[in-house]
Amino acid sequence: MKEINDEILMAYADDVLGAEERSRVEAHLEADPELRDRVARMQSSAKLLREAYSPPMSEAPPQAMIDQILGADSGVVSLERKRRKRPAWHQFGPVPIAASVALMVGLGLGAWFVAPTDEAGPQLALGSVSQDSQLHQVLETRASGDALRVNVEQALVSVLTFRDGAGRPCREVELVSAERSAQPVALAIACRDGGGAWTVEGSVQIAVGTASKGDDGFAPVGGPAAKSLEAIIEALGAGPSLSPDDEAKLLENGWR
Amino acid sequence: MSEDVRREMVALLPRLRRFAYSLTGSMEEADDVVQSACAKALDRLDQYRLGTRLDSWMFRIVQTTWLDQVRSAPARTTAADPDALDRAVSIDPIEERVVARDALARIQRALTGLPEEQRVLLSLVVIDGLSYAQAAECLGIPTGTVMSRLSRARRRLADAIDEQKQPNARGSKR
Repeated sequence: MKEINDEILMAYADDVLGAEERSRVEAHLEADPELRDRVARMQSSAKLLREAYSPPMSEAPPQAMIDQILGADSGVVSLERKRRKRPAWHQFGPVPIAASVALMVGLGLGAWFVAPTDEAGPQLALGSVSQDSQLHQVLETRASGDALRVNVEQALVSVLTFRDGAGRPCREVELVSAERSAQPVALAIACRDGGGAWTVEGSVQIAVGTASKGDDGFAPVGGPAAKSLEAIIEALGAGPSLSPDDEAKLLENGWR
Repeated sequence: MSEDVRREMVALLPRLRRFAYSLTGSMEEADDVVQSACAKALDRLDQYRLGTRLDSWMFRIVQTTWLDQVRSAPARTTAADPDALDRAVSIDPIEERVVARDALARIQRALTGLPEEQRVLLSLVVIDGLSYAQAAECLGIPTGTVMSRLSRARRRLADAIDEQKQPNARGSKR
């Protein structure tokens, strides 16, 4: 049998080998605890590194940087700037009892989840938002950046508020996951009509890394997901996002 | 077309900033690097070939911008920037026996203690999640070189992390 060098071992640890090579490495691993240890060390140090660099710089880029690229007079309304910082997972508070019960009974978490088809997990469903759902609660009553924990693993948080072309107040909401260091697994834009009903106008599911990569699966936010969301925001004819003060007034006055 | 590329560039900013931060170890310096890299990219927008990966092109510009800064201003590490001072004394975390207070600082020390070319690869592949081939494309080097460099980097990183966990391990082995 050919020697297993460090590069092959690394490719094995990163799960990028073809089936044949993989089983060849596995045969060696079975016989050699020292090799197994090296693979484990490569995997755990990579995980540490990835996790250490996951939170820093995850906030929105400075507006000056965006303006520099787009050209300040490009007429593009960028909503990036005012997205509120996502709180760290531990700040999301205790799991609401009702939600954990719902989980245990296996009934799902409310009208806003579409459970059946998608293997990647629940999503923020398009269409009208049920008045007694947690999504409604977040949209109607929570300031941006104020998260509502919906179960042991997930929380809903609004990140910004704006008015669409028709003057309706709209909000961007994220479903964030503890498993992914409080990074969003789904994003949605919902708007409120004059009668007080919220409708999800667009939502984006963020792909989680392939199952073979296990909990190391990592998909940077800011790729296609963020782009499709920008497209939705543009299609709505969005104005600039509201300042925290303006948003607070709307919340206080029941969106009047 | 240029408008599309610009928008794509904005969408890349979070990844570019994280990349730059992993190289510089300071958020302020990272944003400096990204800002100059973007300015360079915009100047040379005509050199960017549509249909190729913008992220590879941008990562490469960020990397060369950083290297230029490091090489042209070695005095920076002695400037009165607390971040820089911190790095200057922790270049060899193993010998210094510096046990950082939190995980990020520990890993940062391990990462910034590695040679520049290894740091770049760890950042592209492990932190950003690029494939070996994509990293090779970013840096304009063969995939084989990426793999050999990266495997050395991975070994050194794992060693540095282990040493920090058990600061006396090396001594007791002797």
